[in-house]
Amino acid sequence: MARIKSTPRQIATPSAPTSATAVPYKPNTLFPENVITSSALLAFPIVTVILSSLLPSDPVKILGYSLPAVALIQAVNILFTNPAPEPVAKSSGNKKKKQAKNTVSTTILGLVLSMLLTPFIHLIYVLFGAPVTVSIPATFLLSAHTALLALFPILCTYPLDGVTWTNLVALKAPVTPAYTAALGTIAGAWLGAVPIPLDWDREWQIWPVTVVFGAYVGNALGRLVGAVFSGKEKML
Amino acid sequence: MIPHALIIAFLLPLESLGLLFFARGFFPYKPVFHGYAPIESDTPPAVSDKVIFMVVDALRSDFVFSNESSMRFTQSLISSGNALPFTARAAPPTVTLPRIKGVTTGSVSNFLDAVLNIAESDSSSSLVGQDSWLIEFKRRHVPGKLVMFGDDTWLKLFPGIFDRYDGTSSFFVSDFTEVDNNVTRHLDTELKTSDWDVMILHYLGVDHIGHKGGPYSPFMPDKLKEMDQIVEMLYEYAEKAQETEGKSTLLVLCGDHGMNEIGNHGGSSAGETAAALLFASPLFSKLGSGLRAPLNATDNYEYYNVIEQVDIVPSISGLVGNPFPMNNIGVFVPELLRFWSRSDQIKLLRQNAEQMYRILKETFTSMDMPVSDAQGLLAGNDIDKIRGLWDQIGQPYFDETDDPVETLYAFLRLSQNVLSRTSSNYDISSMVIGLCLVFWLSSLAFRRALFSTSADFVTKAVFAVGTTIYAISIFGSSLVEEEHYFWYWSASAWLMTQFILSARVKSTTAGLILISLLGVLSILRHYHHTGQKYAGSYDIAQFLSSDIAAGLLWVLILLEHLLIFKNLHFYVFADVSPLIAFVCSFTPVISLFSFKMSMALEAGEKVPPVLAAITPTSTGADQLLNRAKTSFLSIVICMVFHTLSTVWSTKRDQFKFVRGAFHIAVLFLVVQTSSVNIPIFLLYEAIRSLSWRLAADSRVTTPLAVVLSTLIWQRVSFFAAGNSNSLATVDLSNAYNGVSGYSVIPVGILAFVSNFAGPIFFTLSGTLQLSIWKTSSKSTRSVEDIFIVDFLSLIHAFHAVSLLAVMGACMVLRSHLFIWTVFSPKLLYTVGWFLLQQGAVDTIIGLFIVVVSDLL
Repeated sequence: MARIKSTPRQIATPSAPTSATAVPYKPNTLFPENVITSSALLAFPIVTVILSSLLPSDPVKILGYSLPAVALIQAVNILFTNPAPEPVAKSSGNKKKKQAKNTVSTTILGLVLSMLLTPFIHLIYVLFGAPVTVSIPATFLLSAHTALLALFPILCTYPLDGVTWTNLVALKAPVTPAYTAALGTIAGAWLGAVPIPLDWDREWQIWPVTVVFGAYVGNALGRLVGAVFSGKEKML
Repeated sequence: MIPHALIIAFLLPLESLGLLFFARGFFPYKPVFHGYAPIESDTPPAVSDKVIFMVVDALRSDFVFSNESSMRFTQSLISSGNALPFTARAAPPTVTLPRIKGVTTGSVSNFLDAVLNIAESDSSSSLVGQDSWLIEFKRRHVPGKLVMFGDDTWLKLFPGIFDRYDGTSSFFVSDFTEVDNNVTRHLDTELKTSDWDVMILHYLGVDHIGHKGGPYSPFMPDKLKEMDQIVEMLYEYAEKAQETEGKSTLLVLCGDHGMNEIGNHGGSSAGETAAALLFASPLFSKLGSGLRAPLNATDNYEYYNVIEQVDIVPSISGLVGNPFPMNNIGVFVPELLRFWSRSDQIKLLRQNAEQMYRILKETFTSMDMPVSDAQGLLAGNDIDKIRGLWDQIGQPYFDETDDPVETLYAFLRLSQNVLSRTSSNYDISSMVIGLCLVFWLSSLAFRRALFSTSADFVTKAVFAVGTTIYAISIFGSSLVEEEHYFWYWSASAWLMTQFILSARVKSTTAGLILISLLGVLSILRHYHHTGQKYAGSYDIAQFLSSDIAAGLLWVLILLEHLLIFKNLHFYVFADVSPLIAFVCSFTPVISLFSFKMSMALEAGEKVPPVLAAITPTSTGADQLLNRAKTSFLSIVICMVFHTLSTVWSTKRDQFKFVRGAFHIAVLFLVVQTSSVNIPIFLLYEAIRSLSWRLAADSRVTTPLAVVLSTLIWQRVSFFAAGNSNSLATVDLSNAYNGVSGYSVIPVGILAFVSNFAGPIFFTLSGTLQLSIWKTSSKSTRSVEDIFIVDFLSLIHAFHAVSLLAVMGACMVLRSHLFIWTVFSPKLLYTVGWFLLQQGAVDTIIGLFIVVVSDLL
C-alpha cells in the first residue's frame, strides 16, 4: 500500500541495491518518516509494560493471548516501514500494483515462515539453557514471541540467501531498524536471564518472564538505535 | 617471554602472602575463655545421675520423627511420654568437628573448624583447657567416669579424658557396617559393668550412607532400624538401672547435623541444619508431654519445638546438677524445667543468665559503653534491650515479679542471638594489609594481561568484561551460591561470540563445531543441578543413579573405558607390536574398571548383573585398597613405558609424548571420579576433540581464544560435576583410594584431584590445544612463548582478580548475615582455585608439559 504513492521517489532513486548482499534501508513516504518510526518505537515499550505487569500471574496464558496482537502490530509496522525485498534480477520492470501486492505477500510469507521457525528457536533457547523437560509451553511461546520480534522483520527485509544470512550472523550487514531490533531482542533475552537465579523470591523471577521482558526492551532499544543510525553501510 | 615468566614467578608467591595475611585476620581462632565455671554453692538438685549421649552422625530430624521413618521404638517413647523430641538447629559449618564442639562446650563454632575437620591430624582443635559438660563431670568432688565409643574426633577433642574408649576413623565413607559394629560391640560389657557416669556413643553409619546414596538410599531404613534397636537397648538399661541401682539415667539421642537432599552436609540449607534431638528417661513420663509420634513429613524439617543445638549443653548440665560450662551460649530447654519447683527453676535460669552475662561483658568490653565497631553497631539496639532485661533481673524482688521465668528467657534468648552473631573478632589490620597487597599485584597482573599479551582485540575485550562482571557478581550472596549459572551463561555467550567470528571468516566447519559445543554445554548444565535454589531437582546424575538407568550408566562407563583404551592403544603403545600394545593398554583399563565396579558394589549402587558377574567380586575394604593400588600402579607403569619409548624412539614427533601423557592423565582422573560422574568424561572428551579441531582453524582460533575457552570450560566442568561454593559438596569418597591410613599429603592430593578433575582435564587439554594451534597456524612464536605470555598471564590475571574480589567481598560484607555460610566457603574455594588449580596445575604442570614437549 505504501509503495503506490512512493513511486516517484522510487524512480528517482536507483532501485538496484548498492551492496549486492542486502537491500539498503529506504525511507517511507506515506507518512513522514519520523512519525512512523516514533509510532513503531512507542508500540513496543507499551506492549512491554503491559506484558511484564501481567506476565507473572500466568505466563503461558498471557503469552498465548498476546501472540496474535504482537503479530498484528509487527505486520502493520513492517507494511508501513519496510520496503519489499526486490529480487535483484528483475528490479526494473515492476508494476505498481504488483509491488504493493509483493509487500503484502512478503509480509504474510515472512509471518508464516517465522512461525514455522519457532521450534528451531525453541531449540536454540534450550541450547542456551532453557528448561528442557518442564515449562515447555512457556518456552515455546517465548520462542514464538522471539520469532515475531527478531525473525519476522528480518525475513521481510532481507533476501533469503546464504551470503546475506552469513553477513547477518557476522554482524556485517547494513544497519536497518529491523536488523538492530533483532540484535537487541537477542541481547535482551540473553541479559533477561540474569535475575532468575537471584534469591529475591519475586514472582516475576519465574521462567520466562524476565527473558520476555528483556527481549521486548532489547527490541525497542534496538529499533531506536536502528532508527538513529540507519543508512550506515555496515554494522561493524 | 622471560620477563613474563619472571613476573608471574614474582606475583604468585606475593599474592599468596597477601592471601595469608588476609586469612589470618579473617579466620581468627575465636576468643574463648580458658578455665572453668565457678562451682555454684546453691544448685537445684540433680535429676539424673548418669548420661548416655548417643550421637548418630547426620541424623536429620525427619529420620526419627516423620511417618516415613523406621525408628518405631523411638517414636513409641515419644508418644508414651518417656521422651522429649526437638529439632535442634545446628549452626553452620555443619560438619562433625565444629558440631561436637558445639554440643559439648555450648559455644558458637569457629569457621576454621570446618577445615580442621578435614585435616584430621591437626591437634590445634583440641579442647584441652576449655570448659565443657564433659569436663564438668571430671571436676566433681568424686571425678566422674567417662567412656566413649565411636568417631575418633572425640578423642582428638578431649585427649585423655576418657577412662575407656575405642575410636573409629570416619573417613572410609564406603563402610556402612564396620564403623557401627565397632561401637555396638562394646555395649554388652559396658551396660553390664555400668560403672561409668557418662557414656558417649557416636555412630557414623547414617552419615556414610547419606554421602554414598543420599537420604533415601535403600540402606537407610535398615540402618535407622539398627539405631532404633540400640535406642531400645539403652532405654531398657535405663529402666533397669532405675529399678535395681536406683540411679536415673538420661539418654540423649542427637544428630550432630543433618544432610541435604543428596546426602551431603557442611552448608546451611534447611536439611543440613535440622538435626534430631531427643531426651529420654523413664522419669519423663511424669512430665506428661502429651506429644504424638510419628508426625507427617514436612518440607522444612521442623518437627516439634525447634531449639538451638547448643541448648543441649545447659540442659544436660542442669539435669545432672553440674555448673554451666564457661563458653556456653545455650539456653536451658524450657520443657525440662518442669522437674523443679518454681524457685529452683528461677535459680537455674538465673545461673544460666549470669554465666551468659559474663560472656557478654567480655565480648562487648563494657556493657555500659556504647560499642563502636561494626559488630557493636549491628548488635547496638539489642545490647540496650539486654541491658534493660539484666537490670530487671537484678532487682531485689525480681523473684516475686509477675513472670520471672519469661523475663529470664527473654534475656537468655536475646543474648544467645547477639552472641551467636558476634562470634568472631576480625583482625582488620591484617586483612587490610593482605587486601592492599593483592589489590596492587592483581591490578598489575590484569594490566599486563591486557596490554602485554598478543594482540587480539575481541578476546581481550571479552576477557576484560567477563572478568569484571565476575568480580562484581561475587559481592552478591545468591550469585555466589548460584555461581554455576554465571559460567553456563558466559560459556554460551563466548561460544556465540566465536560463532559470529567464524561467520565473519565464512568458516562453516567452525560454525558447526561451535553449535555442537553448545549442545554439549547444554547437556553439561543439566548433569548436576547444583547451588542452593535448584539443588536436588531432578537432573541427569539422579536419573543415571536410579535403578532403572543402571544399565545405561554402565554402558556409558564402559564407553569411556573403551575410549581410554583406544587412546592408550593409539597414542601410548603405538610403536610396539599389536599384541603387546593390546595387552598393555587393556591392563590399566580393566584394573580401573574392576576398581570402579567393586567401589560401586561396596557402596550398594545398582550394577547390571551381567557386569557384576564378570568382575571378580569379593567385597571388603582390603580388596578395594588393593584394586586402587593396582590401578595407580598400572598408571605409573604406563607413564614410565611412555617416557622411555619416547626417549628411545627414533621418530621425532614433538607432541607424541604430551599427547600420550595426556591420555594417561585422563585415566588417573577417571580413577578419582565416582561412577555416576564417569560419563561426564565422554562429554569432556567431546569438548576436547571439538576444541582441538577448532584450534586447527587459525582464522577462528587465536591463543587468547584458547585461554578463554580453557578458563570457561574449567569452571563449567567444575560445577557440572556437582561441585558448588558450599562445603557440602566437597566429595571425599575418592580421597582414600589406595590409602590405608590417614596422611595429609596423599589424601589431600587425591581429594583435590577428585573434586577438580574437570578443571585439570581442561588445563591439560588447553595446553595441548596451544601446541596444535601453533602447528596449524605456522606461527613463528615458540610454544613456550605462547604458553607463558598468553596462557599464564591471562589465567593468572583472572585468578588474581577473582581472589581480590572474594577478599574484597569478605572485607566489605564481614558483618553480613551470610558471611560464614556463603562468603567464607567461597574464600576457601577461591584459595583452592588460586593456589592448587592455578598455582600448581595451570602454572607448574602446564609449564612442565610445554617444556617437555619442546625438549623431546
